[in-house]
Amino acid sequence: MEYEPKIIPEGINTSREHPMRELFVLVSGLAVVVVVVTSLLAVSTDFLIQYIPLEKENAWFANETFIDAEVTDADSGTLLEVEVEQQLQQLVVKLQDQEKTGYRFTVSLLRSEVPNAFVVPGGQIFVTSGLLETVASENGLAMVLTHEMAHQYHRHPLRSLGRGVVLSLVLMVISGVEGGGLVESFVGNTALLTSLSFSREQEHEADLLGIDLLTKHYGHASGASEFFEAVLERPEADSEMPEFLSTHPGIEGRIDLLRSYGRQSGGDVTPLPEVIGRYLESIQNA
Amino acid sequence: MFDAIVFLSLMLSGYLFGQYFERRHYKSILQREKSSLRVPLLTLKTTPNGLKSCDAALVTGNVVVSVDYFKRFLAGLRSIVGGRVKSYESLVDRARREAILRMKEQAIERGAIVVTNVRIETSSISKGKGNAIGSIEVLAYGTAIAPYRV
Repeated sequence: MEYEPKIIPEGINTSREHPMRELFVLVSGLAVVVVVVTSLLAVSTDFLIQYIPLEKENAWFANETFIDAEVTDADSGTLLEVEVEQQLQQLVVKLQDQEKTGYRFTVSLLRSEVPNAFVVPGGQIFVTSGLLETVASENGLAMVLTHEMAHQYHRHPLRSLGRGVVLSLVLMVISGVEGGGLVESFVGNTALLTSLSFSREQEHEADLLGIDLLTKHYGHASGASEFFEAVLERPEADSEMPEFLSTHPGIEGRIDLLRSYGRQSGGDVTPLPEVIGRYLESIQNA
Repeated sequence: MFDAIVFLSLMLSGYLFGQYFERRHYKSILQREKSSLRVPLLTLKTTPNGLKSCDAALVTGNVVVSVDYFKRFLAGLRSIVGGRVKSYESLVDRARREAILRMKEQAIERGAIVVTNVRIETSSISKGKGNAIGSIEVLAYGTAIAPYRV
């Protein structure tokens, strides 16, 4: 028998499927799974948080130090800073929703040029000195405070914490998958983007309740959009992230929302408390 | 944001370069396989009868191929859901055939008419290095049988 060389046909040991097709199927399939799982977990933690009594939350976080002592004026603050803190505290007490009991608020001043305010579990509100410089009236400042208080009324800080814990657990489970950090970071980022939508939802809720509280106290909603308008004028506003990558809804949208309330019920704004004015002067002089 | 740009450009360059080299490599493989068809490769351990009084020598072909970023990502996704790791299949296929071809070319150079006892060995170069770029080595070796020169 004569040896007759033959060529082995292609495609036995390899696949003819286009790699881009495979990529598309895998990426979209996995993304859907991650989004669904993340959302389910986020919704269920959100749901369960309401069963944690408020007193428990307050007790857990009462003695927690959230910020390094160096930047707060907890111990190292000047007399003026302590006065400002007291002033803010009084304002918060006035702005409180009388119908909702059991909520405890404390205000701390942070030395930072970045205009920002946030609330942590247990109801501690942090306000930066940069924020005080940014607002023009007490109403503008009050809107920021009521927004943070609204977060606490909705128990958002604890909800976010719970969500964060659950999400990091999920990420821990998938870590160590073959293919290294690539897939891990893909899944992680998809989960993160999903959870951001929950964060934006919270911000929106806090804006709505915040403006409610503001209107209750002052009788009108003037000055509500003051802070965001000032933020928009800062140079770094141009580098704002697209909304889907951000923890907060877009600033323009929020201004529109707050302004629409201001138009419905306008009034004269209250000037900033005198002690805050003195504090700002002292910052500028320093 | 920056990470996303880096990731996407690595993916894109991995894809473009990877696909380009793969296509070029397959072209060369097919062409060389065709031109070297006349020398058969056998996995027989023993020399076929009739070739007993021939010159015999060890011939080897060795290849190391690296996986590209794109393929790696695909394989990583696969490791979650399971199934054929198609992106690596072509890589291993190329490495195996290239190693055989190199061995064969060596054999042809020696004037071989057949290569017997052909064996292929594959090893991972980056094994145990975690996130290191995956490379595989394929070694093909066999006994080249050539008639004595007179």
